[in-house]
Amino acid sequence: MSSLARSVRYLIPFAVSLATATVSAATSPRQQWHTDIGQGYQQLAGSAHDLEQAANSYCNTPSDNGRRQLESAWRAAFLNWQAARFVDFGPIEQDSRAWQLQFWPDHKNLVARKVRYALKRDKAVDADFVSQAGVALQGFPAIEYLLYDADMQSGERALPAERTCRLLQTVSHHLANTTDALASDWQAFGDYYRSMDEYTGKTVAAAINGLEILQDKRLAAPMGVRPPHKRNKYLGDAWRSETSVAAMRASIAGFQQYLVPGLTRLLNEAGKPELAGKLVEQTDSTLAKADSLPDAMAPNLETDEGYRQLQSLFIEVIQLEQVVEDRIAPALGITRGFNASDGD
Amino acid sequence: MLNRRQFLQASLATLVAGSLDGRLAFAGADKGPLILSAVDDETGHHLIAGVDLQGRQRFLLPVGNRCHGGCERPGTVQAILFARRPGRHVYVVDTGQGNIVHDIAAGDGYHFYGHGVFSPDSRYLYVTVNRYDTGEGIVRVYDAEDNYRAVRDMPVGGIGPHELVLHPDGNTLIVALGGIQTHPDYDRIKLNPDTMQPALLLMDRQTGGIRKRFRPSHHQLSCRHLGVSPDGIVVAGYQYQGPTWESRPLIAHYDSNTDTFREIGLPKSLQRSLHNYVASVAVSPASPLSLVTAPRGDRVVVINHRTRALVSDFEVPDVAGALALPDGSFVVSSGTGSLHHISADGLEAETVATLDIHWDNHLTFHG
Repeated sequence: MSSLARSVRYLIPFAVSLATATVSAATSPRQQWHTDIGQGYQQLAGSAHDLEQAANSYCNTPSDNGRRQLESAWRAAFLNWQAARFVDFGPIEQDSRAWQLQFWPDHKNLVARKVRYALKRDKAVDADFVSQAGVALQGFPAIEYLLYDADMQSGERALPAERTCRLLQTVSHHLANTTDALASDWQAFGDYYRSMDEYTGKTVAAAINGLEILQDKRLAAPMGVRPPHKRNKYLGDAWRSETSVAAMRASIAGFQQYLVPGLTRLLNEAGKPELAGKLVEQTDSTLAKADSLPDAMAPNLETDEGYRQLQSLFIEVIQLEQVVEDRIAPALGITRGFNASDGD
Repeated sequence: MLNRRQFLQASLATLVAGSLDGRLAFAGADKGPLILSAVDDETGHHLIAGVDLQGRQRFLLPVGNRCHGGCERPGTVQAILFARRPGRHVYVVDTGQGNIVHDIAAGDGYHFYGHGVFSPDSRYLYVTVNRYDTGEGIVRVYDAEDNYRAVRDMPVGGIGPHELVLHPDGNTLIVALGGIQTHPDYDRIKLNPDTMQPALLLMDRQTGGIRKRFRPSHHQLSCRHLGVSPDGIVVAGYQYQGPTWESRPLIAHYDSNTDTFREIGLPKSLQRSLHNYVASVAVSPASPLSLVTAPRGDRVVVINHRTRALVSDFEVPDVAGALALPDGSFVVSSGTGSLHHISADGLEAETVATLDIHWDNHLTFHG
């Protein structure tokens, strides 16, 4: 298994860049990627607006039904983010947007600390406060905390308490603005993305990095794959809402939807249809495995049979990552870099 | 010091050795000039490497933290390597013994940014530090003759001091102020993209007084790395934090003789190809040439810092570390493991060695 000490950027040599540059703009792999990822961002922005609206409706007129709608709106928007989460270049890099959307991993439990502080302090919870409060309070995990954290549900500050509602609405509003800006900046980024050959390598690299994070941090860490082999659900993401596995499923589906079509095109153009076939086949197989598992990870960590299921998902993700990293990247002449994305 | 012919002959030998066993060759007991750098091995372990000018290993020291920049303690066997931001350690290396003789801790509430420089008499070490509860940038002074005791903190009046060098006047510290606020709780996340105030600073190393503060042409041009020529010309490299698709000048130029601060733009396609990111700056001590590396664009750019004209550019994948040698030539390193020599006229590049390690951001010379 590859080491994951840091994210790495991939470099695409000139020869491959030339090959892709000869394709007309309307059908080039980067054009395809730009359209597909743009669609992902649009869906994210749309669902973040739905979430904001659900938060407003629920807080204006609290009801069980409103609460269910709110939770399902959070889940829909969160999963849309998971689908496009692998993109680590372009407008997502601005203003630490990826962190604003999902502050994770959160080893110091900052999300909880920030939310509790916001609810306790005397001053108003308004847009200014949320934009000054730092990334731990600005995204999906903060809302997840309000909706699902066990302590939060039992205390006097539980939703729909007034101040908690105000925080929910303000964070939802912030999130809707962030995803709006992301989606529109992605369009502004289009000409540049299509014109710069390097982005072919960077896009494939983003996909590999996304799969490595999925495999190493989102799966292997909570499963205790490495010494001291302790299973710990809190190391996964979205454990409060019990959607750790659902989130991974959404990321694999996002890979299939936003990355595979452009990459298939690139492989076919490079005369590697067999690798394109292998990519599609392995993606289907990995996604099917993820589909067969329940949304939450914790119950599967507790039984031998459940753990075996997670192990087979883990193997499927490794296989997918290996197809891209060990077979596709070398075939396209994409080699691993070290300083390019992780400098200082 | 080797002349160019000897250097290249030795390089060729190293290349052969490197390709035969794929491991670092050993230079034996030879005690010539040395290049130090933070490196990672193939399994992701962090090390400090000392190699000779042909890329042959003198020592390889495991360290608990990924390191960043370094500096020579002039006239002594010591060299310093700094843990990478937000690092808490400074390692003092005995280059003769090939071991670490001091491990300086940042102390509670502080972390290092990864760079430092010595006073001309080699007594005081000046290190860039973050006091992270306030975000206040500091130049901390350590007394190397008193077991590297911290003797003084000098605030820079801003956030994120990064690399610093000593002006040839022997008294002025030139500090690249990145302007980016971070906090260890948030790892390396940038907390203030909208309100950054990067600068190039001149600080009196005796009094801590800020003599000059120059602002880049855009508030998101983070001023990070720099070098100074013997005649007082400063070349600094920026990292632009704004939209990827915008292209801004990345090289700052300050002539302390005329007190003129400028930025150097490059031809449009070359400028764009740097991807808004300069990793290292090396200013030649023996010629009017300076060199910057741009790993995101796989590019080395050489300029004449007297005329501010572009001299040449080279494609080197994942290039980051850069070093100006006493003879006026340069060495650059790549994350792919290669070391390259650039001739003193800035026109020729040759591969010196390729090793099974990832060279990290910077190279340090020990003469």
